[in-house]
This record gives sequence, C-alpha cells and structure tokens, in this order.
Amino acid sequence: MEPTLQVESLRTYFYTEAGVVKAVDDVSFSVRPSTIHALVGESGSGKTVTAQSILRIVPKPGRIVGGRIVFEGRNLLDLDERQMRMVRGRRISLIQQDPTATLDPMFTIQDQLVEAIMVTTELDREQAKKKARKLLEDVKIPGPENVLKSYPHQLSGGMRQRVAIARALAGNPKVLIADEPTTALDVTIQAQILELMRSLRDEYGLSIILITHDLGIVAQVADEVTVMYAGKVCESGSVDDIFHSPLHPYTQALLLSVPRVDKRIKLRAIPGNIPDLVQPPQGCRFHPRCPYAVERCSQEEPGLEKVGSQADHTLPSRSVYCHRFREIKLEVV
Amino acid sequence: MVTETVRRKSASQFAVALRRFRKSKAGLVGLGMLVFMCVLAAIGPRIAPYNVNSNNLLLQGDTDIPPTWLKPPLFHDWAFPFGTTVGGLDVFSGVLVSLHVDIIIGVGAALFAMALAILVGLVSGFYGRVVDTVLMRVTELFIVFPALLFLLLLSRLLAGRLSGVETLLFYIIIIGVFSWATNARLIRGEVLRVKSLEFIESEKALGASTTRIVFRHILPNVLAQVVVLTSFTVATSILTEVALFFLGFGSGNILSLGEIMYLNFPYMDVEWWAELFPGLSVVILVLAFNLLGDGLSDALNPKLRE
Amino acid sequence: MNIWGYVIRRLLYIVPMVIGITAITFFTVFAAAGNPVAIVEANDPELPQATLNALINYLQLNRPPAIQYLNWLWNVVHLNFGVSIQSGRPVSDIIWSWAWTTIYLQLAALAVSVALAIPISVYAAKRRNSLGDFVITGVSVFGISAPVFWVGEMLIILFAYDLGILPAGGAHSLNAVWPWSLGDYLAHLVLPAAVIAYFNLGLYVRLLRSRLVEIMQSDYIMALKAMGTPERITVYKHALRNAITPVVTFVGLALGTSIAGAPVTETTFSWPGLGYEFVRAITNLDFPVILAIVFLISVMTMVSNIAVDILYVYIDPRVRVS
Repeated sequence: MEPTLQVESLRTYFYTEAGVVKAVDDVSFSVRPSTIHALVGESGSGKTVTAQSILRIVPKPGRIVGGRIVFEGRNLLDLDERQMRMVRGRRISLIQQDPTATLDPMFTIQDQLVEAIMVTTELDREQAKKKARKLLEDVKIPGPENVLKSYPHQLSGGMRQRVAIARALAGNPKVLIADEPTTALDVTIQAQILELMRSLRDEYGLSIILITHDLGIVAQVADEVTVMYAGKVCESGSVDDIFHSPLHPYTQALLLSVPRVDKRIKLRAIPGNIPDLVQPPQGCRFHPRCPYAVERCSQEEPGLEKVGSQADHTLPSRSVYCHRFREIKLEVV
Repeated sequence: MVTETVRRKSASQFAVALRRFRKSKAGLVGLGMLVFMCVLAAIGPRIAPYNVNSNNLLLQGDTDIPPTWLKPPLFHDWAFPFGTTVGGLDVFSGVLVSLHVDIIIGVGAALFAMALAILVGLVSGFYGRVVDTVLMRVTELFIVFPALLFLLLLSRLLAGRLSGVETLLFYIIIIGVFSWATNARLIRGEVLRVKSLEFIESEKALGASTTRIVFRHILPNVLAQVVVLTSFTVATSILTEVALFFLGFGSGNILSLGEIMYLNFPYMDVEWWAELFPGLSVVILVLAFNLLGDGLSDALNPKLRE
Repeated sequence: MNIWGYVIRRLLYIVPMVIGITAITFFTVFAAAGNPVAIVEANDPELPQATLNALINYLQLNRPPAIQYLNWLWNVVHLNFGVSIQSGRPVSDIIWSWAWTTIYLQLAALAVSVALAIPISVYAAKRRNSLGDFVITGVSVFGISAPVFWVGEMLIILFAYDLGILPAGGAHSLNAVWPWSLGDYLAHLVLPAAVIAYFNLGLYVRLLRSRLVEIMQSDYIMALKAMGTPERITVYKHALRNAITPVVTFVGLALGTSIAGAPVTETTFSWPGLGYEFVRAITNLDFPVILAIVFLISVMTMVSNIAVDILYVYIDPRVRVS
C-alpha cells in the first residue's frame, strides 16, 4: 500500500540569537491510509515543529532547510504559497493542543465553521450552514443547534475540542494532524475524543498523525508509532511491535517510566536532561543518557536500519536508528 | 529558606532584566537623551552666555544685552544659536536656564503621584472588600475629575502668592494629585494578579505575617510595573506642566520652558524660533522619558519573542 | 436584558460624581479667593451699586457658602446656570454658543484618528521590525511626546505664516456664513483637528499595534493559517476584532481627556470653544461660568466613558454573559 504521507529526511532549524536550534534534524517516517500514526516524544523532541513543517507554517525564525514531504504524488516543499494554501485545510488539517485558545472568542461556532467551510470548499453560505450542522453531528456533539449559536467560552473544553475537530474536517482532508489533542482535557473526555478519532479513521479512512507524549494514549488508540528524541527519530513501526519488542533504548526507557496496572514493574526515570538543541551531543543524541552506550555512540550518528521483511507491503515498515540494536537484548515489558 | 530563594531570584531577575534593557534600542536611546538633558539642565545656568531675568524679559540696565530680534544661525550669527527676541531674550540662554525647572517639576510630581498610587493600589488590592470599594470610589473621582481645568483654577487662585521653591513644590503637588489615580488602578490590578499566584497561598499556609507577605513578596513583583509607570508619568507630568505655563497660569516668578513659550506666543508670527526651540527641548525631554519607559517595559515585562 | 439596568445604574452614578466635583470646585474657589462679593467688585470696580445688588440677590452671594452651593445645585437642576459676573449674560447662553465648536472639533479629530489608526497599526504589525514599522513607531512616540500646542504652533507657522494656505486661527472668517461657506469652515478646522488627531493617533497606534502583534501569535490565528485562510480574513476579521477591545475603552478615555484638554488647543488656535472661554473665565474668576463648564465637561467625560463601556459589551461576547 502506498503511504498517504511520507516524510523524508526533514530538517527544520530555528535561527535564533542564541544560535541555530536544530529542532528537527533528519526525521523520516511514513503514514499509511486509514491509520492512526502516533508521534511520540518528550517536550522539545520536535514533534510540533514536524507538524508545522508538514503544513509549512513554521513560525519565524524557523525555516525548513532540507528533506522531502511526499503527499499525493508531490513534494510539498516544492509547492509555492498559492498551491500550499490549496493543501492546508483541504487535504491536510491541523488541530492544536489548547482547545480554549484554538477558537476565536469573538465569533459564534456557526460563524467559524461556516467560514472554515467556505474557505476550504466551493460551497455557498447556505450550503455551508447545513454542512456546519452535519459536521457537528459527525463529531458526535449533542444538540448541534444550540452549539452553533454559542460562543467558545460558553462551551466546555471537550466540546471545544470536538468543534475544533469538526472545523478541521470542513474541507474533507485526507490527513488530520492532531497535536496533543487531549492534554488539556480530563481523562473521561480524553477517552471520548480518542474514540472519536478511531471512528473518523474507520468511517472516513482518515489518516491521523497523533502527536503526544503520553504512551497510554498511544497504546489505546494508535496503530503505528514513531518515537522521537531531540529532533531525531529513534524508531518507527506498528504499536504492537514497538511496545512488545522495542529496539531502541530510549523507547524501552519510556516504557519503563510509565506505571502499569497489569504488572508490577519498577518505575525508572530516565537519568539526565534533554539535550541543548543548539549544541547537541556528538554522535547519537541519546548517548549521554543511554545505559548501553559505547564509544561508537558518541562519535557516529546512527543511520536508518530497516527491520523485518520489506517484501510484504501490507505490513508497516519497521525502522530503528541505533548502532547496537542487534546486540542489545532489551527487557520485554 | 523561602526568603533566600526569593532574594536570589530577585538578584538574578535583575541581571536578566538589565541584559534585556541593554538590548532595547528605545530604552538605550531614551536613557542617553535623559542623561544628556539632565547634565545640560544642571550646568545650564552656569554656561548660559547671557543673563535671563525671569521677571522681565526686557532687560534694562543690563550691560551685556544681546542684539534684539535676531534669527537663528541659518540666517545670522552663531553667537546666538537659537536666536533672540524683540524683548532681548537670548533663546539659547533661556532654554539652558529653565530646563531644570521642568525636570524638577515633572520628576517631583511623578514621584509624588506614584507614592500615592502605590499606597492606594497596594492597600486596596491587598485588603479588598470594603477598603477596596471605598478607595476605588475615591480613585474613580480623581480619574473623572477634569484635571487640567482644575489645575488652571488652582494655579490662578494660589500661584501668585508663592515664591521660588514654594512655587516648585506647589506645582509638584497639584500635578501629582491628578496623576496618581489612573496609576493606582493599574497597580491594584497588578496586586490582584500577584495575589492570586500560588506562591502567595503557600506563604500564607506557612503562617507568614501580612506585612511580610506584602513587602517581601507582593511588592517586588509589582515593582516592575511601577518602574515603567513612573517613567511614563514623568512624561505626562512634564507635558501637563508645560501646558499650564503656556496658558499663562505660571506664577510669573519662575522661568520655565512653558513660560518662555507663553511670553513669546503673541509674537509667534515674527519670532517663530522663540517657540520652536523651547518646544523642541520639551519634546526631547518627554521623548526621553517615553523611550525609557518603553525600554523598561521591554526589559521587565517580556512579551513573546519579537 | 440586564444591560439597561447596568446603563441606568451607571447614569445614576454620574449624579454623586458631578456633585462631588462641582462641590469641590465651588468650595476651592471660595476657600482660596474669599468672599464672592469681593471677587465681583475686584472684577469690575466701577459696577453700579444697583447692578451689584441685583447680582448679589440673583446669585445669592451674601449667603453662607454651603447655602450658595445648594442654591446653585438647585438652579442647575432647573437648567439655570446663573449669569456671568463679567458680562451679565446668562451662562447657559454663553455655554450654548461655545459648546458646539468644541464638540465638532473634538469629533472631527476623533474620527480622523480612529480612521487612520487602524490601517496604520495593521501595516506596522504585519511588517514588524521593518523600516516602515520603525518609522511609524517613531512618529507615534514623537506624537505623544510633543506638546499639542507646540505642534500646533509649528503647523501654524508653516502653513499660515510661511505658506499662507491655511488660516492661523478661529473657527471661520469674519464674513463666513454657515452653511454656504463650508469650505471656509473646513479650512479653519484642518489644523486644530489635525493636531489633536496626531496626538491621539500616537496613543492609539502604539496600543493597537502592540495588541495586534500579541494577537498574531495566538493559537486561533495559527489555526486559521493552518486552514489556509487568506491573510485578509485572518487579519481584518479575526486579529483586528480581538485586538480592538481594549482600544475601544482607551479611545473613550482619551476622548474624555481630550475634551478636558480643550483649553490648550483652543488657545493656540484662538478657537472659540469651551476651553477658550474657560481660560477667560478663570482669569476673571467668573465663577458661575467656571462652575458651569466644569459641570458640563465632567458630564461629557462620564457619559463618553459609559458609552464606551456599553460599546465594549457589544464588542466582546465574553462580557455579555453576566
């Protein structure tokens, strides 16, 4: 199966007064159709910047300096602004973390949805109003009539997030990028939003890039996952594979730092701190905190290693960036 | 323990703010202009080439009188860089000699106003409820009061009876009295914001006394805003003071930039330089405080990255 | 809705405020200047005794100050502001003839400054830290630093004395008749309105620009960009709408201050308005006129504050709920 979206060797740097911040440095992963693909990592790992890069809305002083993003047969990085605007909202959409701030407080939900619809489709105002109502139904909002007339501050956080999702679906996109969509919500609402995403994947064949730092969410809802650290990819593959047989020490460390209900395990925090992205560590960026690091890890950056059979295209590809992944026997959690 | 962290925090916060201030173009320019003007004001009376008599600008019996009615250097003599007037005033000397008056009144009024504003703002914001309501009503009265009108009235009624230093003090007080109210409201807002921060709760839980909370914790956090407001208040005070004098409500026995402009206003069509240069000096002075305020604001209240 | 209750409450609130302000003014004059009768006499020593007595009776000048004030207040309620001690004309006549010129000057300046503030601020915010932005911020900060009358003087010198294309003062030429001499009125309006507008523009642009810069970094603007919304809509419909809310309050307050600051501009341009008249009244301690103008200006300031607060409710949906 052809991937819907393919990120190849993406590099996005921020040119600040303090130096050049290499926020995304040679990141590659593919997103398949009708899949929830999670992008996991601590804060500062470059997940949000990756999302911004895909849509090419990286704020100054950031700039995409290298790589390709292949979508619908074209490299998005080659498109001019006008063409890119046809992609945003219409083929690829974004929802952000904070539902309070993502909607304009001055306009009603109907105003904002209708505007989104009219910007991303050819519908006229009357048709847009009808579609707005339908979108609210699609995201399972009860009593859409009342919600349409409301202002954002009159709705709860969960409702606002649903509205944000509805708005993102206005243009019938193929890919939805959800940046930490549930971080600001409480757990019960979180479950509902995740359930909503699953149904969007199933009913509409949407590919969802789910950005999160919460492994629990990944386990609950994601099909595939890419683990990022300090602007680089550690490993990538199906959720089953990654969770049950992680190949990268960082992934294993993450898994061990999350409490589990079914097993008693010793919680282990990862020693050390996130590296400075202006002067990242030499070689593998994780090596200062890696319990398996050797001399080579501090000198040479690990390259892409593909794992498993490449012939069967119905299975997701598995890749890892580690010098020693074949030698290290990682604990199965 | 907690005090140590707060104090250490303040020390390094100060260093951070200083670094940010150094980066602020507006702040540096403003500071430079201010220093220049203050130095000029301080040495002004000593280096002024001609005597300026504030009571009567028509110098009589003065041996060293500048030639009258000269235009500035573009047309004439560099000995009189700002020109002279029909009445025999060397505008350059006039400016040099009166600069310090405007600075003193402006700064004095602002300090007075801020002292009142801090007091009212702190008490009102911190104690809340009845005290707050009462103080805010009083504040509102002063905000709505037509300040300039009343200042004119007060000047007219009282200024003539005063002399020298008393006059300066008079203007400082009356201008200050009409400048504190808006600032008090702003400070109160800031106090309320700081009050709701979590660390205040934890201080209370630790049993810290009221004065301690106010002075050790709330005040330093409000200080940033106070400093910025002070600079801007000096700017508005100077403008108010100059306007007062320009309308002719100075006391007649002190010479200030506004007073020079008042005396020469009727002759503006023939001696425009007597209005231009004193006015320009006021602009530079006020500009300095406004830019300084901007710089301080950038340094102490960092917004999102520019 | 509850909005009318709020409006009524605010309007009623004006009453104690105005009483407070006029009382303070009243008692200050008498505390500092003493016996009102003496003031009248000092003003015009040749006033015939009969006229003086009539004045005393009419204005109740020989009663204790508190009674005099209450008497004044009572008269005001009946829209009687007394007579000028200098000219004997009824104060309401005097005010009526002067008030309009002040009002239309202030409104003209307000209209110009508001109309210009928006495009200028948007331009500066979009091209942040560019040369254009630098020039705009520079001109704005200059505008708030220069005394209004000085800028006025410089413009008069340039346009009236040197270039001779605009009049140097007054609201109209001697033989101008409204409304046929509209051009003449407008020519006289240009400089004073421009000067007031320039000062206020400086304030508005500084505030609006900084608000816009802040708003442009917010999440919903980012979300709109992510959706491919044209910049025109993002900036003018969304960013501006959000940025303008505190500016509206600010404009209202600035209008109040501007009205109260009328004496300065009007003196510079010999503009026949309330401010100009106030300066004359103060010089002569013509207290009925002084009180009437203080009263009027206080009311005008407070009403404009309330109008702005109400406008704010319409503009910001978040405030409406209560």
